[in-house]
Amino acid sequence: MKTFAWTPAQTVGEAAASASITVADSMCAMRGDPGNAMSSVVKAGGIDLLDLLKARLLAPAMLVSLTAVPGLGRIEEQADGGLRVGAMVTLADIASHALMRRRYPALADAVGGSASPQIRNVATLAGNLLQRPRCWYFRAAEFHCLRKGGGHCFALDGENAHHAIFDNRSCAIVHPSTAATVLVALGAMVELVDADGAVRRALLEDFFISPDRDLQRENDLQPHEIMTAVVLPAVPPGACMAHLKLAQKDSFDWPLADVTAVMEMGADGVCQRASIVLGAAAPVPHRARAAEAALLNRRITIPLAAAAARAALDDATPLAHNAYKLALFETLVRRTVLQAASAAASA
Amino acid sequence: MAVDTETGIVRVERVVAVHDCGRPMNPKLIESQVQGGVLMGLSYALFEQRVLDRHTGRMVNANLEQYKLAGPSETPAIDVILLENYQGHSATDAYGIAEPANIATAPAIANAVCNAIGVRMRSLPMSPATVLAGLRDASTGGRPA
Repeated sequence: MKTFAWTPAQTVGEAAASASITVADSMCAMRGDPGNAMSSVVKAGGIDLLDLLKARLLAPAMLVSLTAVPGLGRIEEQADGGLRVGAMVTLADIASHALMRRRYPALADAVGGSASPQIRNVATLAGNLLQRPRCWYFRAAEFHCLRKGGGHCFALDGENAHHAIFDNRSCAIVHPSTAATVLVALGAMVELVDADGAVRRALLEDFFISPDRDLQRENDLQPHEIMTAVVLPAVPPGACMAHLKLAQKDSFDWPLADVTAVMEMGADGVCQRASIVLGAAAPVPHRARAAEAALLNRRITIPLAAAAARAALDDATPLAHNAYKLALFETLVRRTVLQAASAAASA
Repeated sequence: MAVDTETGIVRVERVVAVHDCGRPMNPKLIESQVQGGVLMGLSYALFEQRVLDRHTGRMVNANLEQYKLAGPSETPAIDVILLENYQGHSATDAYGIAEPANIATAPAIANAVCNAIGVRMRSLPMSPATVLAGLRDASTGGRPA
């Protein structure tokens, strides 16, 4: 690991002023500029950053630590009943927060079941959303892949059992954040602040970038910009939600499939709005709009949930070794919709 | 043991490991050894896989994040039963018990999977992909995976 300087920023503005380059840009710049002498990147929990440093995929001159910046570690109730979650709030904080568990159980379940207890105690929400993908070709320095500025996706004709089943024609990563699957379904906003203190807000769904827009980054974070919070909109009356994941192991494993369902049910038991998002399925959290349309203005039954699950996979384009994921997602969409509906029925 | 036939996910709930190990010189140590061997066999049966890139031969999951091993949640109840079987072949009548605890476990889990879903699994690890393929082949009358 290359030597680096360490700066504990005291304010968001100071951190933004110091953060000269995003991790994504720095990784692409590294080949032309191995020393990368002018680069300084932001460190929150450091879970993903340290992995990238150890794999020699990133060699910044300076790390700008956010740990000492006040106010980023709070979960605050908003006037409208929503919650504002500071960027440095840990996954463990979210999973154990009483109001979060009551109002957004899908998010608490998703982050509470991710990674391992040690990682959840350190990993931050913003770091989780901004982490780089876990594609094994992307993570190996020997493979100079498209996402690192190279000319070839090694997964497309290689080992792609864990890769995307949607939007996988150029680069077949899956987005690594399980929290993002839930937050996109909830319609969460992210809050970003630049060095002048100007605040930018974006719908998380729009903040993520698919490979056809830009192959080399997963989100729209800019240099000299710090994610300061994620804002969850108030839960409307009649809303219900669930998040389920399938992994080969229960302890410390990446999901093979994960699904969030957020629905608004009328007093008559009819679904008035549905948001179905698939994780570990595409380079960004994948809205299953055909599944959402199938549920609209209907009562949730087992056959309807199964039909919605089939619709969710209509436009899937599996690769040579990941077609089994279709069965996983078809099962999981059905189970998640039914679990959300049963939560509504028992509320 | 449980197999989710919709997802191919296998969960081992209980392992009974019966070993003929002559005279137990230190029963606690043998039980611990057998438990370790069972966990290794469990990972062999369900998780461990060197994934080699087919074009370069490079192992792409050479780390403990992507190379899967049983963790706390995968650890089943393990009952260790030591058979004291004296043969008079040595001065102490003690046998070694190192690999035997590992060796029997994966085939026992594969047999249990077959007993549960009626499909004979022919390769390890028994991952969701291979179990689903085995179930599909069986339902279409093809050869098992």
